Amino acid sequence: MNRLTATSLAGFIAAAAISASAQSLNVTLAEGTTYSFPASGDKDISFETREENGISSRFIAIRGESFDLSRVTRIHVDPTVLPDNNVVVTYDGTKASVVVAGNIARFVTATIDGANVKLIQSTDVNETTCNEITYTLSGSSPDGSMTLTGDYKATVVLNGLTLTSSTGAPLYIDNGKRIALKLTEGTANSLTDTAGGSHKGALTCKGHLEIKQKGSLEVTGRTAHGIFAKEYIELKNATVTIIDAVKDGINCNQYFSMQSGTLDIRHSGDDGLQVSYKDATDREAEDTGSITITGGTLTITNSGLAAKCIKADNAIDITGGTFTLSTSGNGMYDTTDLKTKAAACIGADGNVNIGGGTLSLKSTGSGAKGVTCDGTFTMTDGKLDIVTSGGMYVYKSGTEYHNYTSNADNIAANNKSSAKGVKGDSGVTIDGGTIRIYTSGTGAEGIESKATLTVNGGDITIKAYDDGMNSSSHFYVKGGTLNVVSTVGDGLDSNGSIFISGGTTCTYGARSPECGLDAGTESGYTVVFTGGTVLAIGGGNSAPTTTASTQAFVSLSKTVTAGQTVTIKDGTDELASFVVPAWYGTTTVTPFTGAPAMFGPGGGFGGSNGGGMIITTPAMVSGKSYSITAGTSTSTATSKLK
Amino acid sequence: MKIPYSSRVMAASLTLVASAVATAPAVATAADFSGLTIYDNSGGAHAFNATGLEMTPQGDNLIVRQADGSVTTLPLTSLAAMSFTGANNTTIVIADSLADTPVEIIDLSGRSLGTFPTLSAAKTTLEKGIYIVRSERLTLKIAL
Repeated sequence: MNRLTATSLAGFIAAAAISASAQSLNVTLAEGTTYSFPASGDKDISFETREENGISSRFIAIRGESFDLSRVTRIHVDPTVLPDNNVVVTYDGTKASVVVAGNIARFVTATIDGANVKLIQSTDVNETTCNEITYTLSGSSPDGSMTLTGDYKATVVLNGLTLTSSTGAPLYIDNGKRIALKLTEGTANSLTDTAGGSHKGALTCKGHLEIKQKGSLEVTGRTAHGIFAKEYIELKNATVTIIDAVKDGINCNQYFSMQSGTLDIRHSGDDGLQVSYKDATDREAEDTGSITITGGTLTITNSGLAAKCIKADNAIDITGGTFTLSTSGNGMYDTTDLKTKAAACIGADGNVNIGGGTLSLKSTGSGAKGVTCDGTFTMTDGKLDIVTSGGMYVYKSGTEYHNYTSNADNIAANNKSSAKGVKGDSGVTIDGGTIRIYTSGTGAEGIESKATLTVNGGDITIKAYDDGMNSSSHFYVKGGTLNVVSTVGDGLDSNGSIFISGGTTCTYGARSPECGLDAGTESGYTVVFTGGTVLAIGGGNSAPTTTASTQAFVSLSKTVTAGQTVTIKDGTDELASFVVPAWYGTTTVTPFTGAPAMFGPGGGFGGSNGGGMIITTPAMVSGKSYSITAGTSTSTATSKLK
Repeated sequence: MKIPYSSRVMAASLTLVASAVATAPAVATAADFSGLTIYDNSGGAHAFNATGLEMTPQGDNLIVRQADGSVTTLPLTSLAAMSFTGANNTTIVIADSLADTPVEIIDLSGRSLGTFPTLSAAKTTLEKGIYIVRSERLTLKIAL
């Protein structure tokens, strides 16, 4: 009885072949290609004589395909059957063999030179002829490659393939259509290209690349990128590791999408994963220039100057997955754009939206950030941890400074770059999720919005060297929990007004003139309390000054220390209680595991301008006296509206 | 050199030719052949054991080597046709069933005849003949 066996034709995938005693007739040509035809009881194999240019030749004809017998080196019967529409390429050291299913013999032309294989898929391949062809590659070669040319979608299966090319890309798919790249489950595959070539990636695909199945692929790009696709890349289930790349680990156009699997980019000279628009204008619908990640595990380590772990021309949307991203590259001055550029774990020219997932980001270079975007940063769910330790990058008079500690106020914005946890040039909106940020370099802020900053929800913990949260426009707190400590700056800083209408905000700034709440008072802005609970500690807190503020507050001078409980009582009725973070004013306690001990103490230790502490709660009434206790020290203060 | 004919003849006796991707469970029937016969222009037949059979064109001859080491030399100009013999239809367990899988039916000219919710549903509609059945994970040739 015949059985499905693990044996296969030329190493073909195990269960795709049917084992028996005589299942196929195989014709091998002198150039090395074998055409495999299923065995048949019909007299459908004939011998013919043909005349061409006065020369008579004998041919063997098998079901519509004819082979000049003078070019045939072997005809053999094999116990296996290669399924229709399949091509099998097997590498063995410096040699390669190609087996083509008989039904597509006319549609695939193979050229074999040592272990370098060129396959040309006919332009006649389409849904009305033979439909999609599957190319399965296996084996190993220290000097091999496969080039596939075509203009109809195709599937390429890596079934235990190790290829190193000394001439170019080991896998070059010159086909602008959809290419399904399947990594057979349980197989390890490896591609390494030559250095100094002209190709764009060790794996280069002119079309869109869908990487799937549960095998693994390691790529080393010694000329340019590790993997390059001229159109989009989708990743599902597979494990892809970029060992090294001269430029980007993965570079594609249109979009990158990851549903599951593992992406590990260990070293790249430029960005880890970069997506660009394919067309400058008149873009197709799929040409979004975006990165969308809904699941999987990403580990990307990057050391390039001003390089990003993940970089998109447009938006980056994350709704799931586990991310461990780290950069160590310093900032640089771009002499073309005439401005400084800095590294970041996540960088987008559009928006960054985080709606899920667990992200652990770390940047150590000068000016380097956790997340930066030209658009709006929005977080609705998930967990985001960021640590930055780089100092301020300054380019001044032709000289680079990677830890500039002098006053940088008079240095043009294009000539300096500070580290930050999150930076959103068009705004920052936090609706939910958990954010923990720790920045320790000079000038490093926790979250900076170059426009409005809005907190509607979420749990935010920040310890920043400079401002904890900074907004170039108005700052809204409508919900959520904020626990923000700044070492030398403000807890919350706004160039506009600070509107607090909900949530619980604990903000700790440094000594005067820094503070816990810093509205743009010099420009006529103020603080407005209409709800929420606030404890603000710092030197010169901004306080409400207009009738728009309808919730009473107390302002007093009071010192707090790490770990103390601060309470406000109306008689014996406790209105609110706060615990001063353990990392306030200390160099050894950090906000969360994985965050290093930071540079210098944090916190303001009371104010010298009579406004060291502000507290407001919804239950407070204007004109009433409240007792405020910090540790064992109790003070009283009368509330007011402005 | 390959010269394509304008049409292809399908193996009528082969009720299943193509198979599928690795993990597709299915039950199908295929033919196994024990022999191979080469016919000459005079109507003569040369029968060989198919298992391990090797044929090599050498000059004007076809050298036929059987697994037992025996060698037969046949003049190429005398050969007319070749056919497998001794079919042994057997049930082959492949992996996966098409019982609850949508299938696309394609005729031998490559024309799609439509997509059916299951192979059984397709069989109730199709006329007798040979078709290609394509599902997400499996492609078969079937004879009805």
